[in-house]
This record gives sequence, structure tokens and C-alpha cells, in this order.
Amino acid sequence: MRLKKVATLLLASTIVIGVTACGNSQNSGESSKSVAENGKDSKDDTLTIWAWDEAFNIKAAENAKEIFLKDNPDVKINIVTMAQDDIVAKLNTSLSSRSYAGLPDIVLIEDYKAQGYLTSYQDEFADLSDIAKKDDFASYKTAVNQVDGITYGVPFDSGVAATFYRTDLIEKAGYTKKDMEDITWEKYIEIGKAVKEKCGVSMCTLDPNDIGQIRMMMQSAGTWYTDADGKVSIANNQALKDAIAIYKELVKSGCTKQVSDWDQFVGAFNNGDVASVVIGCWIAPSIKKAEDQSGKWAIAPFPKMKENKDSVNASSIGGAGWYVIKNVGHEQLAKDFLAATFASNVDLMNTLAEKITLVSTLNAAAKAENYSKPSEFFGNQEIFGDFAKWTSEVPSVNYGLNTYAIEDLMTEAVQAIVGGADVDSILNDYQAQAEAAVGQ
Amino acid sequence: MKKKIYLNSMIVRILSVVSVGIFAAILLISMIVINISKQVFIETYGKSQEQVLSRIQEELNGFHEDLVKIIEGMNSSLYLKLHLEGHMEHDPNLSFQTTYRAKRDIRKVIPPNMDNFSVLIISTQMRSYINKEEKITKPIQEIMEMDFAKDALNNPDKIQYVFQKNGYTSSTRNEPVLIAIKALKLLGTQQPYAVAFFIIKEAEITKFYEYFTSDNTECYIVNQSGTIISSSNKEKLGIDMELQDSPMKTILQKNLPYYQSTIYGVIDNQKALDNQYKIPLLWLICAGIIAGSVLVIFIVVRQTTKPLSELVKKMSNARMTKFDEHIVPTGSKEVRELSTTYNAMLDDLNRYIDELMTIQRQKRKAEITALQMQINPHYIYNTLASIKWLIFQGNTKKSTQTIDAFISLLRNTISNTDEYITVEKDIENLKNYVLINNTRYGDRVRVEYFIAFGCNEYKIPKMILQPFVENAFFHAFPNEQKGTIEIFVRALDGKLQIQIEDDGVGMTSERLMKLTEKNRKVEHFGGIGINNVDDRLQLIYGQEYGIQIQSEENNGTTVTIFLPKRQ
Repeated sequence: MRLKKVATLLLASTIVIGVTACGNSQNSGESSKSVAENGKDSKDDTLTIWAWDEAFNIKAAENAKEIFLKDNPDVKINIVTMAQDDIVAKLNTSLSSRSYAGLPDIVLIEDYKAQGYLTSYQDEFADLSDIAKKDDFASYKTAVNQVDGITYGVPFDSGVAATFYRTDLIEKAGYTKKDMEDITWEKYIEIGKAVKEKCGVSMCTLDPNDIGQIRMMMQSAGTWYTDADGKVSIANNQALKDAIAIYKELVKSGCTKQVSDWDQFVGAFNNGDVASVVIGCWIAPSIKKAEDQSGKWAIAPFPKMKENKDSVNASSIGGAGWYVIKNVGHEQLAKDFLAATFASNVDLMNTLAEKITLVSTLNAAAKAENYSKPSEFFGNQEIFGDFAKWTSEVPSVNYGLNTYAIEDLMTEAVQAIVGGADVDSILNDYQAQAEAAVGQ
Repeated sequence: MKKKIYLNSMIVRILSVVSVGIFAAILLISMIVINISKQVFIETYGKSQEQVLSRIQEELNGFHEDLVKIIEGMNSSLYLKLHLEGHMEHDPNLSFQTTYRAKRDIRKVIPPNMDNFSVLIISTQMRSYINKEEKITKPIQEIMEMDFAKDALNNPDKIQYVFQKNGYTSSTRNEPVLIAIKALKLLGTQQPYAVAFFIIKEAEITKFYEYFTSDNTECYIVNQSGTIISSSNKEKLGIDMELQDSPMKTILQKNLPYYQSTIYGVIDNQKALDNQYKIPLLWLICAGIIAGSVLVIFIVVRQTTKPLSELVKKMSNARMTKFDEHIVPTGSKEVRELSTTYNAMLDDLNRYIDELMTIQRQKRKAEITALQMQINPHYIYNTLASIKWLIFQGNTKKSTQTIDAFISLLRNTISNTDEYITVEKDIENLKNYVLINNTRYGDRVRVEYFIAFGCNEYKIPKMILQPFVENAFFHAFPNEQKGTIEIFVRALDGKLQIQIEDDGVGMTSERLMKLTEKNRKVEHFGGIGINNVDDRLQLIYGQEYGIQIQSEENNGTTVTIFLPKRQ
């Protein structure tokens, strides 16, 4: 008996020693594990969103985050402000190499670029057909988000173009709001010259490296760098020619302020250096940043090209949609996020209308309260009503797959033409170059 | 029990020695192995990490060299200078061209893969350019007022790297940044016209050494004044580096002369090793081995010592069991040998004892027989003299009686050679002896007989009662004292009990002891003395039979004889 007891005791004590030893080291194991898990948390369970323009897109994402977190308090959402160029560069690099580390779950992609991405990397984007119903959005937006009938993006802001102008300066120059209605570019330049002369400020900014104005003019006439079939259409593009002519006129008029970057562009109207901005409606929050100018601003429709019969007083620039990158790891969560916010939430749109003057492309948003409110900053103008009206008048064009690739070339072409080269021959040259560049 | 403890202590000793030994061995070996491999690991890990750090150093230097190339490219752009100095303002067309070309030049000098920083250029005329689509969040005048901007203009050839808790652009204003600052001057001129700020998110710098860092390895870039300007440990950013040299940490260090900084790799050896060695598993294996071996040893030792303990038990019981229990030889060879030998020894011993017993018994028997046949010649002479005296007195009846008794006594003692006689016969002998005694010494001592029914037929050794009656006769009643001797024969507890009880003077215990000595004064009837009756009875019948004498002074003596009931 005794024998057994002693033996059991010995056995037990060895086991106890073993177990205690294990216990100790297990503790340390646990602590290191928890550290690892914490690290994992911050990395793995966080929904990352990339967007540009902190006055606009970032604000929108932040509001959406707030709404989503109310119902999903455990989710972490990281909104990253990036320059659009960087987003483009990083998406291209990562998607082409299929390395998803560091990629966001949700990314904002400009409409011009959407088709390019979707055709190149169709498998990398999540099918959002079930959360973004085609009929819920403005039709010109959903076309951009689709490939093979599948919706890959949740349409976000309208890119409808408008002429934002300083009523005080226009009036000082001797013109009225009436003159701005159904304006033409020719009239615009005329007013610009008067403003320059009488007020000492420029009519608008021009960035020699950004020919967004030409793009808008083209679209107002229903054409693009590419035709309806997506083929490069530069030479013999009358609207393009007319637009370049007006652009050249703008440069020469001396009533424009030349800027070289976004900071200067925004700074120009915020500082009161220009009397107007002709751009997409998404610029409104940036304009509103200059609170001292409240009430001095108004909006008018996009100027049409007098020489071009197809041109109307409506166009579009920019505008974007939210896309989910499939393989980053939170596809479902990302879809849930978009479904609960940008794809359906009228309240969010209502809030954003007030906060960032968002012109939503969600049809249901039109009924939201703030969309019928006059804007104090814009002289109590009912801006959303106007935006909506112009949105419906925007001529639809096929942006094709390579808008920016062609535009890179076109910037140079415009440069040459402004410098005095012959329009037709230059355009013929660049037609060939563009076809080569995009592989047609 | 004593034996068990001994055995126990043996198994305990073996067990404890072996388990302590194993434990110590395992511990020692593990420690030595772990220590050796620790050192090897730390050394090789440290070396490999040092190589990694060298690569990081090269990459960071490479990055710096790329920046230098970009700056050289910018310096060679006349348009950039013209644009930033605003010389073409008066002519929109020229200004348009200049602006376009300046930007084109910048795009050309910044490789498309170097997209991890923003370039902000501010001219001495306070005109700015930023290459990304974002806003400058700090007024450019303030930026140019800062020491490092002034410093850059004063030392146009130097590239400074400055850590700032917040960047100057919308995408960096909430983040710590490293800013590379360099004055721009057109190639061939001496006067700087602008300062270029390469605003790099600290997070982007981290990417240079991200693969170096892990749970157990931290990386710090520390500038000349000891401030941490980039680190894998974001909490330490912007504070002074404290380097504690401890054996638990391996600190690697590389100079980054371009950055006027030093990069430190701090390896937490303990954590690195913890990852390397699964300590809980090690402990578990140790415990398992110890438990397993202790179990095996326990079983083996138990198997070995079991026959031994059996042997010891049997041996210690041997005296009680009269050496007749054999041991079944089991267990190890030695123990079996021992058991067999012990058995043989036991057999021998038993044989010798048996032989000895037989010889003794025969010897005693012969002796008793011899003694039983003896009658003290003096007794005969004196008895005959007493009878002669009776005859002389003319007491014919009494003398005849006495002679009859004497004849009967002689016949039963001398002529009857049987060793055992019936109780009845022996009582008759006793009566004859008492009669003769009464004749010779008078009737003052009376003897009474109480024979229980059925006891007459039991056989007892011849003349076994006579010595006690004789003793009572001559010693219990001194000084002509009168008295009675009572003899009881009865069956009790399966034995035959015979008591000889007198009401005489009794004995002190000392006298009782002396009883065994031969009393020369007394003229004995036969050769058997009471001193050796007990021995003889036990020799004949065994341990449980024999004689008990109880006596108190003045209170008589009782002699009790136990004999087997034999017919």
C-alpha cells in the first residue's frame, strides 16, 4: 500500500511540476497570442476605404461610416484620403500583380476610369447587382458601372457640370444673373474680359495640364474622344475642334488665371482670385469652404458652344462610384456597408446634400427634404433642383476604356494648338498616336 | 511491517534516485542544448537581421539617390524656374506654355513608381507647386519661415530630412511625415530660387523596413539629435530614443549618413526565442518523459522486489510456521536462486529437527521407562520394616493389608512394563501408596479421590501423580499437622484435568521456585521427581499439556495436570 502511495505521490508531483511549468509558459504564450490577435484586429477586421477629395468624398464616406457603425458597433472602418492619381497607380500595380496586401476593401473610382478597370480586372471586383439595383439610380451612371450586364459599382455623385459664379463680381462688371442663364462660351469670355477689366480678377482658372473644360464642352455636344463604339475619335471630331478653339480663345483672352495644381485651383476661388468656376457640381463643398463668400455665389448652367449646333447647356465631369475589391478579405462586410449606406440610404443622401452639397444619383434621394431646400451660400438658390434638371439634359456619351490615356496625348495636342499649330493636322497626328497608345 | 518499510524505502530510493536523475539529466541536457542553440540562434538571427538591416540601409540610400536624381532633374528644368518665378505672367500664351512644360518636366523626373510622396515646391517669390491633386494645408509663407526651409536656402547643396508630426498636405496633415528638403537652383546658377519639400508619410518610410520588423523586432530611425523619426513602434515616434543595453536585447545599428540618422534594429531575444522554442511543449515533453520513466521504473522495481518481499515475509514467518512453508521460486534469477536455496535449507533444517526430536523422544522414553520401573530401595526397606513392626505388634489385619498394598504397588511398578495405565489403575496404585504411608506415618493426612464419571478409562503415564502426592504428604503438613489431600480427575475443554489439592501450609513463591530442586531429606518412592514431570509431559504430549502449580502461604497448594484424553 505504502509503496503505491509513494509512487503515486512521486508520479503526481512530477506531473504537477510538468503542469505548472506548462501553465507558466502557457500564460506567456497566451499573452503573446493576444498581442498577435490585437495586431490582427487592427489589420484584419478593419474595412478600408480609399477616396480622394477630403472636402467631398471623404466627408461622404465618414458620414456613411457613422451610420453604419450605429448598427454595427464592432466594425472598424478606416477611411484613407489619397490623391486620385495615387489610387489609380496603386490599384493598377496591385491588381495587375494580384497582390492584395494594402489594398482597400472599398474604393472610389471615377466614372471615366470605371470601364477601364472593369474590363481589365473584371474578376477582381465584387458583383454588386444584388445591392445596387439598376433602376434605383440615374441611368447614365449605371451604364458606367456595368460590364456584361453585371453591376460592379454603387453610383455615387453626379458629375453634372455647372457654372459657379460670383454674383457680386459679375454685377460689378456690369452683367446680371440673367446674362448667365443659357450662356454660351463666347458670352462667357466676353463677361470674363469685363470682369478682368473692372474687378481686376480673372474669370476662371486654367490648368494647361488639365483639359477638363474641353471634355465638358465635348460632352455638351454629345461627343467624346471615343465614338459610340468606343473607337478613338479625335480627327474630324467637330465638337472637339470647337472646344479646342474655345479653349484657345480662353487662354488668349487674358481673363483666366493659370494654375498648375489642385491647390492653386481651389485656392483661386477660395481667395476670390476668380469670378467663376465651370466644373462638376462636386466642387460646391470646396467653394463653400470660403465662408466669407457666402451669399455671393450662384450657379448657372454649363455654357454651350455657340458654333456647335449639337451643344446644349448641360454637361458632366467626374462623378464616381464605390467599388468593392473582392479578394482583400471583407467582401461581404464591404457589400453590407455599401448596401446600408450609398446604395439605399436616403437619410445619408439627405445629410450629405446639406453637408457636402452632394447631388446624389440615387433616384429616391430627390424626395429627401434637403434636396428641395434653397442654399443660403448660393443666394438661396434651389441648387439641387437646377442640378437635377441639368443632369437630365446631359448628353450621354461612351467614355470608352482609355479616357485618360487619350487625354494625356490630347493635353499635348492642345498645347501645340494653343501654341499656334494647325488644328486639323495636329488632330490627325494625335488620332494615329492615340490609336497606337490604346491598341486599336 | 518493519520489513515492508525496508522494502518500501528500497523502491522509494530507487524511484527517487532515478527520477531525480532523469529530471536532472533532462533539465541539464535541455538547458545545455537550449543555451547552445540560443547562442547559435541569437548569433545567426542577429547576423541575418544585420544583413537585412544592411539591405534596408541600401534601399534607404537608394531612395535618397532617387530623390537626388529627381532634384537634379528639377534643377535642370528651366520652365519650372520660370513658372515658379512667375516671369511669364504678363503673356497668357507664354505663361500657358511655361506652366504646361514645367509640369511636364516634373512629371518626367519623378518616376511613375515613386508615388509614395508628395512634392511641394515653394519659390522664394512664394509661388507654389504641388504634384498631387491635393491642397496645401499650411500657409506657404509659414512653411518658408521655418528653420529648415531657411537652412535649405542657405545650404543649397544639402538635403535635409526633417520629421514633422503633421504633413502640409490634405492627405498627410493628420499623419507624421518625413520631409526631405532641398533648395532648387537652376543648373549652372548659384542662387537657389525655390525649396522643394518631398513630403513622405512616415508610414511609407516604415515600408522600407517592414519586412524586418516582427513581434520581436522593432526598428527605429533616429536623427542626429536622438529623436525617433520613424519607427515600427508608432508610440515612440517623435520622442527621444532611449537605448537600454540589456542581454535580453540585441541591438543592431547602421548609419544612414544621407539622412543624418541611424537605423536601429532592436531584437527582443526572449520573444524571438519564445517563437523559436515552444517552451510549453518542451516542458510537456520533459514531464511526459519523467512520468513515463518513473512509471516504467516503478513497475520494473516492483516486479523485481515483489518476490524478494515475498521471500522476506516467508522467512520472517518461518519460526511461527515451524519452518514448513516453502517459497515458490519466482522473480529474477538471484531471487529464485535464493528461494531455492532457502527451501533446501528449510528442508534440511526440518529433517534435522525431526531427527533430533525422534532421538530425544526415544531417549526420554527410555529414561522414563527406566525410572518408572524403579522403586527406591530405602522405601522398600523402610516399608518392610514398618510391616515387620505391625506384625510384631500383632496387628495381623493391618499388616496383611499393608503387605497386599505393597505387593500390588510393586507389581504395578516393577512387573507391569506398560508405559501408560488407566486412571483407575493409577488411582489404585496411589491408594496403595497412601495406605503404606498411612501405615508408616500415621493417619493424620487423609487422601480423598473424586473421579468424574467416564474418566477411569483414560490412559495416563504410569506413576505420574505419585510425586505430587508424595510432595504434599511430606511438605504440606509439617509438625504433625493434620490435613487432607483431594484428588480430582475430570474432563475439561477436551483435556483430562487432574488436580491434587491440599489444605496445608502452602508455599511462598520463592519456595515454589525451589520445588524443582531435589529434596534430599525426603525418601522418594520412585525415580521420577516432580521437578521434571512437566518437561516430560510436554515432551510426550506437546506444548499445550503440562503442569500448573498454584500456592499461597497458609492456604494450601493446588497442582493441576493437563493430559490428553486417551483411551
